[in-house]
Order: sequence, then structure tokens, then C-alpha cells
Amino acid sequence: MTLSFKDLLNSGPKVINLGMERFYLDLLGQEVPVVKVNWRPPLARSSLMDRLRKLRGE
Amino acid sequence: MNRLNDIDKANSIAFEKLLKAEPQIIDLGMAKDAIPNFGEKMILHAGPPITWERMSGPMIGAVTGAILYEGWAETPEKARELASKGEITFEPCHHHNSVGPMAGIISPNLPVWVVEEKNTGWRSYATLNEGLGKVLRMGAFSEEVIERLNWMREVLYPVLRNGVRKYVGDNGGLNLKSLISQSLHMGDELHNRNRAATSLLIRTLVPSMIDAERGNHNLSRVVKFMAGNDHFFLNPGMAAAKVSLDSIGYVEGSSMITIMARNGTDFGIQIAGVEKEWFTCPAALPDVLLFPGFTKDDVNRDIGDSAIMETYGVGGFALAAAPAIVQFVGGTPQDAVNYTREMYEICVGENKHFTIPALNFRGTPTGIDLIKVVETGITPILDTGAAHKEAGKGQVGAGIVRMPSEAFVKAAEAFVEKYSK
Repeated sequence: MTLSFKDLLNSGPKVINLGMERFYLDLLGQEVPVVKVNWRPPLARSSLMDRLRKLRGE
Repeated sequence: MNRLNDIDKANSIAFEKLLKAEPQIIDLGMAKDAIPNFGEKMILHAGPPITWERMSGPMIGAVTGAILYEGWAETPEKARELASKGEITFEPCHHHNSVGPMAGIISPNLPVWVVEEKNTGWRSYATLNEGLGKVLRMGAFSEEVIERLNWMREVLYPVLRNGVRKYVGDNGGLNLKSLISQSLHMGDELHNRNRAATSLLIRTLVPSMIDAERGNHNLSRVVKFMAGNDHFFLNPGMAAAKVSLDSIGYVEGSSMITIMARNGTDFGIQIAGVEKEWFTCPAALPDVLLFPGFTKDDVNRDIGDSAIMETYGVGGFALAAAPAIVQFVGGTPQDAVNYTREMYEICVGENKHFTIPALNFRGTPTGIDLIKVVETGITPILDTGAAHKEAGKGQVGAGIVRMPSEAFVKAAEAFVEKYSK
């Protein structure tokens, strides 16, 4: 689905929120259509993540 | 060991071993006699190893209570002096095939459940649950606490032991896996809600206790005590989880977590592919629903071996099975479902023996995969109690606590280091 700039001005934004729940809750409070994707950044710094991926043969 | 397949295969082996485990109650005994390598002036505690100097308030309170109970000192002051002089040996319950909720204290003359894994014969041990409020495991050590422990040793223990022996003699070991499975269908998640499991345990054991102790005037008091404590099942439940996870043993290449535990100061984990090594970090500060009269400043850092329930795939991981518990820990039934759904993201598989009616009988998320935790940034949640940070004050609340990330990162570093060679 694509949303034109004109549609955005006429009908308002439809938001997908990744991570930070606060943004999702704020939009919800303003009755903005929003869905939450429960995403978090990886725990480890990138060098460890690279070594993990290498270990897994990726 | 350098391919995804190998790690997945190792995790499948560990996972299947866990699912195959058949924990059963086979006896009760005194800690000093039943638990292997129990030293004379030894006290076992929850979580990873810790010295007296680094113990938190509730742990100090519980140790003080145990010293008074054992008669090694006459006053709380003298008990602390004894501990500070290094005259008590402190070791983690986990180093002795044991587990304990909250402070997790096991001293030589506390009675313990003896749970055996049917296939391997391995055993685990846990004390008898005292109930809620001012109790030793929450760090309380007043006279009423010691009196209750004395009553439990002198009255509860022999009646319960004889009942268990009668049951085991007639039927074989008491099947805890089946009991846990049934309880999940009756609204328990087996960490903060054990009402159904306790009821089933009583229903199973009481006929044998009546047979074994007919005419004993203490029988009615013993049954009332068990029936008056919704958490009476928690301890044998934890021993079931412990012996099942212990039955996995060392599995080369597995990133599956076999222990999560907290001592009120540190949080620690162990994994199947790095033998018997603790990876630790400061324990979480629980942001939980508090009982009236307490504030956030009263709460101690997270404490207890009861995280073994989540490591086993129940407790917080099975919250969707226990909508009633959300009234106690805060949130809505939908939150409970969401927590369980999130935990599937970090687990090796689903437990076909432990199913959740509200999720169309989907198996509970089981076998936490360290690599998935690190990759997704999702750390395990626990459904747990919280203790007052000052010794002797007891429980202040209960709720959902997310485990801190640093221990998982340290374990991942060690795992990569070991298997990259």
C-alpha cells in the first residue's frame, strides 16, 4: 500500500512504530491510527554480533 | 563447531533431554542427610556464589534466621557476628543439586523434598514452603518465623514424610510432570500462582497421609497448614524444574540456558555448552506492584532460585495460562498472553507436555536460547515476588521482572570464544 503526500494531509498519518513504546502510546493518546512492532536492538555490540554470525556460518 | 546446523542440532539434543525428563517426588529428608556434600556449618543460598560482605538485606536476614534456627547463636547480633567471622560456609543451592525460592536458605536441619528424575536417577532438593508474609525466605527472622520452622520440622515433616513414603510405596514416585501439566490447565503458571498445583498435591498425598498417620492428632493441623498456603507446591515444583534441567548435563555446542538465578545482589546464568560456569551481572531492581504501605525505595534487588521455573518453560513464560494472576502482579489478561508470545521469540521450542488452553493448547515456550536473547534484545521475564531491602521486613510486592542483559552478553562472549577456536 502506498500513501500519497496529499492523502497524508487529507486523512492524517497511519503509523507503524518500531521499538520505543512511548511514541506508540503518545500517538494512541492522540487517536492516531498506529500499530506497534515489538522490536528491540540486539544486546551486544556489533563486533560480538559479527563473531556470532560467523560462528553460525552466516 | 562452526555452522548454524551444529548449534541448532546441539540445542535440539538439549531440548529433547529436557522434555524427556520425568521428575517425581520420592521422599523427604533432613537437608544434612539428603543433600550431597552438606558441610557441618554450611548454609546454602539462592543464586550465584556470594560472600557475606556482599549479601543484600533479605539474604542477611534469612542467614541470621537460619543461624538462630540451628542454635549456632542466641541473638541476631551474635548470629551476624558469627557469619562475619567466616565461621559459616556459604554455597549456592545450585552447587548442591538444590533450589530455594527468594533467599533460598537451606541449613542442615531444614527438611527437604527429594525429587528424582526417573530416567537418570539424578536428584534435586528443596525445602518445605513456609507460606507468605514474615517468612525466612523473605529475610524475616523474628521469633514467630523460628517457631514456625521448628513446628515444620517437628510436626509437619514427619507426617508429610510418612505420607509420601506410603504413597511412593503404593504407587511409585509422585509424578510432578503430570501435576504441572494439569495445573497449567487450571489457571496456574507455577511461579507466582500455585493454587491449582497445591490443591492437586494435597488431593494426591492426603489419602496416603491418612493411611500412614491414622490416629495422629497432628494430622488435621498439618493438612490445614498445607491447604492454607497456595504456594506449598512451589518448592517441589522448583525441584522438578531443577532436576529436569540438570538431566540435560553438558551438551557440546548448545547455547541453551540451564540455570537462571538471583541472590539479591547478582543475577547469574549457566548454559548447556559451557560447563558449570556462571555468567553474572547486578540483579534487576524489580518495578512491581507493591503491597499497601511500601514504596519503590523499599524494594531489594531481584532474588531467588525460582527463576528455574522460567528456565523450565513455565512461570512468566506460561503467563497466558494464568489470567487470574494479573490481578496480583498488575496488567491485563492480554498482557499475560503478550508476555508468553514474546518468550517464544527466544526459545528453542515448545513443550508438548505443558500446553496453554488460551493459546489453542500451544506448548509453553521452552529452552531459552542465549543466541536468540542476544540477537533479538529480548531478555526473559519472570513472574516473581519482591522482598524488602532491609533484613527482617519480608515481602513488599510481586510482579513481572525482566532479567538484565549483561549476563547474557558475557555468556555469549564466552560461547563465541569457546567455539570459534
